[in-house]
Amino acid sequence: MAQQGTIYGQYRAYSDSQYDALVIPSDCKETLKLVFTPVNDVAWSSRWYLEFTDNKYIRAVERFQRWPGLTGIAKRMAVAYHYGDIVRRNPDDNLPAYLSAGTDQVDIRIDNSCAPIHLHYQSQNPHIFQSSVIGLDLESVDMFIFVKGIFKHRAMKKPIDSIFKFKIR
Amino acid sequence: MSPVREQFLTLVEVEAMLHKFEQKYGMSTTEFLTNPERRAQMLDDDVFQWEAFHAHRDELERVAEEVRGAYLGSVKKCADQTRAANNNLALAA
Repeated sequence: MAQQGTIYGQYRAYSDSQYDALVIPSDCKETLKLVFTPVNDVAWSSRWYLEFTDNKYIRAVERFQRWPGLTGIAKRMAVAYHYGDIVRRNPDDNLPAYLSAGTDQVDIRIDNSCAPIHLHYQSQNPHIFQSSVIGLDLESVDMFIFVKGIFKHRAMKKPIDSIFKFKIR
Repeated sequence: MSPVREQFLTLVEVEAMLHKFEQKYGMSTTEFLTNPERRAQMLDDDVFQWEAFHAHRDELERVAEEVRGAYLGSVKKCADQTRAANNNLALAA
């Protein structure tokens, strides 16, 4: 749903149904519950943090804005889905924090910060763009697909690439 | 009732958040948006939130301008005679 045009009401209904159905493992705690900050039907953002007892965390953030040139439709403009070790915390809110110019550990991260959507896998560098990712359309991943994939990876102890079914060229 | 939270922010609250980030990093929002080198040194979630509050403010201002334009478009121009009468009433008050 994230890669297509949408509106807030529709996306919230989808998110509510996904969230209601989500089973959070016993070793995981939401340190910031999923929160939406809407302006109207075509502009909103959301943030969500989950932490595990083994010092790993998930961060899922999205920002939708009116789709330029299209009336009444929103597009996902900013996205970051992150899973990895907690290496520091933001002093403002004590949530796990990531420094993109550093050497922070990454298990998997999908984001479009400063560049078209790309993948980081098992390390902060390199940025792996869609043209080098086989089997997974990065734009098609939304926060629920990502979070459920990580839960499955942890429960089944299977490599992340086999859970999300991608290979890197 | 969904357990998913929702927060609505006023323009004043959004401005306050932008100010908080400007204070924290010692630069204006314009500088933040135009300086990728400095952004790269910031915590990722701060970058996300700062950009989101900026976009939030833009959208609030756009909506306010749309409402204002629609209101002004619906206001009927009064005739010159009515204007004079209104001025006289105002002077008398």
